[in-house]
Amino acid sequence: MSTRPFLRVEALTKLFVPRQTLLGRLAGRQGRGVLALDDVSFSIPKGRTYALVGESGSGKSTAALLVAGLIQRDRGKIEIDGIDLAEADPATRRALRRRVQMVFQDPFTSLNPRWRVGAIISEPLQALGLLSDRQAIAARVADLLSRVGLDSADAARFPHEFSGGQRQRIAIARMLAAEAELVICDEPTSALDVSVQAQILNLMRDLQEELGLTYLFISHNLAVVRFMADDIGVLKAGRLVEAGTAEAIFGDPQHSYTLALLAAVPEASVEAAVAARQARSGSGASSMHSRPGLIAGQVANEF
Amino acid sequence: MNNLLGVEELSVGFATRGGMLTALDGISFSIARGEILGLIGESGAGKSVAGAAIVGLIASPGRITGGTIHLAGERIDNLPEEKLNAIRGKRIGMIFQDPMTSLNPLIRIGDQLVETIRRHLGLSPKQARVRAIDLLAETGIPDPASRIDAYPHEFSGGMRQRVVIALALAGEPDLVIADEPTTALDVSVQAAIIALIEKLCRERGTAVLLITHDMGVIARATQRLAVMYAGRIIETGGTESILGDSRHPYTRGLMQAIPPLRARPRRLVQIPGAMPRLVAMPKGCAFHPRCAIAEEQCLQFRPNLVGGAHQAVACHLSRAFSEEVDTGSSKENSVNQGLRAVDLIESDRPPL
Repeated sequence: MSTRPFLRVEALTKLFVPRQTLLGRLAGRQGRGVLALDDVSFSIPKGRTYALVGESGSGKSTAALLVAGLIQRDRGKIEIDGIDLAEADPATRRALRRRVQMVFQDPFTSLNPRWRVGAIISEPLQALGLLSDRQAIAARVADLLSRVGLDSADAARFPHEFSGGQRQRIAIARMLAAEAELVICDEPTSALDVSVQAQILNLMRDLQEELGLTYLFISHNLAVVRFMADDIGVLKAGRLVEAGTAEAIFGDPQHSYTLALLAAVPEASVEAAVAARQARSGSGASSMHSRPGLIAGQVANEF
Repeated sequence: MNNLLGVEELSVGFATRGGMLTALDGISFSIARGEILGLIGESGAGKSVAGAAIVGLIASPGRITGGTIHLAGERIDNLPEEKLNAIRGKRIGMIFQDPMTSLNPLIRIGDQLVETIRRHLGLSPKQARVRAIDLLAETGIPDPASRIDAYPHEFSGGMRQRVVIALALAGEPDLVIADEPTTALDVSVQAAIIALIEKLCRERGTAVLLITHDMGVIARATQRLAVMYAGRIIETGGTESILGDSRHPYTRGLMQAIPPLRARPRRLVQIPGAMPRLVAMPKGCAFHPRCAIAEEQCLQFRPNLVGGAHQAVACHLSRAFSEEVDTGSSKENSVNQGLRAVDLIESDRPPL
């Protein structure tokens, strides 16, 4: 792992200004803007996961879109592998774009319903000029499908034939096709059921370990963030109110907003109920967590 | 008779060209006055169909194909539409997931409330308006006397959901069906809405059927719960018992799939595969293709819900979860031995 951060964001600021109406312009009224992101700085070392957490409207998705280059910043700097996107020449920018990919929240709208899965996954291969030979492309698609836990025959099917979890696997395969190094994940499991969410999160951790992927992970779900993140930034109304290692944020939160967020985590109620039951049954011998291997034994062979 | 709502062997089917698809397959439960029953399940489990069936909102080609629903001792599943209309809103209130789509965006919230109150309680416009302000105050809307004339878009998501709850309570119902009432909200707002539902339950004696996919909401709000899978209730009982000591491999898997907060394991426990679709319901136990301990009988025979009021479970192998296995005092049969071997596999999930 190099010491230089793979992604460095410095004093990033984004102001959304509403389009001026004709009447407003005639009256000389200035549209009131929304400061979606206000002087936000953080960095991610290669192969690590940085999570931005916060409630709706905190600016976390705006940060994701800025880093992905899908919207333009107003102030600040975004450096990927030491290169500032804004100052790079078009060829460098294009090469950099390939290395930054996104996995979106809703796998029902992020995949083109008219394209077969094979076309969805192979598009980046062709568009980025990674492969041109048809047989090589087909082989790579089959390889990627099996890598995310799908079957090579699935390449001939359409997105609607897959469940939510399988569609998110397809989105991940497409991201891998581009040979992404930095992956921006915007609530990648919030549209999925809990049992399927665990499959996708495990897959993402496995891929990170294997390929050295760097994740910018956007989520409102603190339990998911606890599992995914090495470092965490807490956003409130566009500003970072607290940042630090995941251990520090969860173990010793400082800011009152972080404390409030943690106090509201629904999963904490589950843990409390389990603990209460364990306390009541004395030794806790009958609790599920004393025998968690029951299903875990099987899981190890899943991928 | 203590139960306000009694659902017995309720089944719902959808007629298709390929035949009748069973969305709800003989579910039974009851709710007492002032009680919150949690109905938990993942997408496709049939939990929302259950809620819709109780208020008679199953639309063609779907229909109730069996079973009974009693509200305060009166059978309501076979009532004609006009009688059902008198029950909906009046005796059964409804809260849905998205507060933006359950309110009419073009009508002031006060007018929506007044209309509902007048329809169900027959008050004068003036009385109804006073009643509406009371309801908004009760659901925690600050300064209700001036907010009553606002439009839905002028409220935040959490405040809108409070208005929806006020609407659900307008007819002073005995039963409220809340289908994912907090799913669209931020977690801090979620907590406030759950606290509000609990308060109303306590103070008004309203019974609540709380439908959700979120174990956290269940743990926070309910004393009793029913877990649904593929159209059936597969486990039911006290919330604490089930969360702390589930006897069904699906419930256990669901609990273990939740990422823990106090540590960061290398892997999460995951349930392979996904909920079966109605068109491809497996034979035997519907969970068997995803189950780590399934054996021959699970592939052939559907397990029934067995047990008492304290806890009941639909699993052929649930005996294997009992205390006997832990203490090793029972006679050793092949089921127990097989399980014990799996039990010994270490998980990387630490105890909570």
